[in-house]
Amino acid sequence: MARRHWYHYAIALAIMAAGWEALALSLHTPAFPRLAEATRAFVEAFSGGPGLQHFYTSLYRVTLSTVISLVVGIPWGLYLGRSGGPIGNVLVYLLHPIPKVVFLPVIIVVMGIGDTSKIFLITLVILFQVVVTVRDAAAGVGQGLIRSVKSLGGSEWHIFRHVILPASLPGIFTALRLVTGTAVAVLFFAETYATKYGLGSLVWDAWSMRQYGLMFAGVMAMALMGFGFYVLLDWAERVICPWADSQR
Amino acid sequence: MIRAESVGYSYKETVALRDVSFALPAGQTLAVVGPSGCGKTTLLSLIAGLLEPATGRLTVAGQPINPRRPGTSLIMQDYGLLPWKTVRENAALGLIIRGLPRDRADQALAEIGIRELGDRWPHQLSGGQRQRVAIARSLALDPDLLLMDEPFSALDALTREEMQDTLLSIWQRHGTTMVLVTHSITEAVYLGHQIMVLSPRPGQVVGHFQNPSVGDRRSRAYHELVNNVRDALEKGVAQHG
Ligand SMILES: Nc1ncnc2c1ncn2[C@@H]1O[C@H](COP(=O)(O)OP(=O)(O)OP(=O)(O)O)[C@@H](O)[C@H]1O
Ligand SMILES: [Mg+2]
Repeated sequence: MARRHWYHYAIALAIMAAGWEALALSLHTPAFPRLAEATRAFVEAFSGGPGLQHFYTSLYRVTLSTVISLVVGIPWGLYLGRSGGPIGNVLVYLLHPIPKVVFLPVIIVVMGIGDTSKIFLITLVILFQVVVTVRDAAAGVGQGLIRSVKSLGGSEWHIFRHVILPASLPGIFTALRLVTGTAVAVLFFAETYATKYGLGSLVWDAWSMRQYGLMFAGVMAMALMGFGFYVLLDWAERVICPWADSQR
Repeated sequence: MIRAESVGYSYKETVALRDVSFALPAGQTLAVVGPSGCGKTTLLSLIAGLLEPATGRLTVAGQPINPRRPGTSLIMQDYGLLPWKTVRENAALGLIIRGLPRDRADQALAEIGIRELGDRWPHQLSGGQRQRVAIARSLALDPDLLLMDEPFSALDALTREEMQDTLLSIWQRHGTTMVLVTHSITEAVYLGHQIMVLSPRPGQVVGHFQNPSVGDRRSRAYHELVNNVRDALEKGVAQHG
């Protein structure tokens, strides 16, 4: 992957803006406002007050869900990739494609309508992406390196610490890039009930009141949040996996 | 140092080694030659204790083989360097695993002439340099038994001779017992006090030579032995292949 510069971002933004305007002009409907209108609504909504509260609330939910899915999913994926039997793998394949949103009623019954149920729903959606990605990364570790550490007298712990874990790190970052995007998208479901704040609820409310400028302001904020995660993860990967960076 | 009595090994149905016997005194070097797939890597894995012999008896320093034996050091065919560790960290890996101080790794890198490469990643090294890191990693552990699987086969001819000389000087300084697997007859005769020739799979001993001309590429004895080893190898292929 080539290093990205500011002008790459600028060009990408310009392409996006041009596409937006072309679409808005050709559709010519209030349901898809011009870029200027959406931008105005964005600046207005997020220059302070409740807009930022919406943003921070969502950010908190997405971050916490991601952390939980990592804490649970990484060991689970590593286990399946290294020593998991066929049963564990079949289970994951059965559970992964299920649309987790159908569990929302059950989740609400068990956990109530507060933050816990929202975070649990997001976590449930992204957890299996973590498990499958990490599992594949761990399963792909070459036997040669394991033998090499063994021949130096390494125990199972050393093999894990010096081979399996570092070999899986790039896969873990791939998982993170996937799931932060998904988690932001899931906000739209998780924040449609019983919440005052959150970008999902902002978009939902604006939609129901036909404030399309504000609705797209909320969508822009979601895109920005997802993008912020990408930038953060790229940076973190460079710091944590310097060997991979120098290979590019 | 190593004693093998009728050692055999099979991977499921594949018989890899059959009835291999030899004895290697401490401080000597043994070169093992044989066609591809005849079980050379298997033999080293057995001596390193990574595999258990299916038949026969195999001892190192009088003890049954054991993967945790601290004095044994194995350098694998593909060097086994970890891509996520720098040269220095790779060289120190055995020390880290055994909870020993790391400074011996720097000494070993210096001894083998690549101290200045300490901060590089393995993929930034040439084949010969990678090979040196693998040797440094072994030397850092101060082994009494060094096992090497085709250590120089990926190197160009000049680098290869240079590495052979490096290995010879290590042996002269440390007196380490060595087992060296190689495809090259000349390398075997240059580096081995003993030369053992294996037949195609299942590997059986089809020739075993004592070599008085170690470390000499020019003498008549060297050329004679090269020819004898080649004859044994070809005969082995003709009879068992
Ligand atoms: N894990 C394994 N499972 C099954 N068969 C194996 C395994 N490892 C090696 N073999 C087989 O055992 C035989 C001996 O393999 P080994 O790697 O010891 O050969 P080698 O002499 O080192 O070959 P080369 O010179 O090509 O490295 C080969 O025929 C190989 O196909
Ligand atoms: Mg081999």
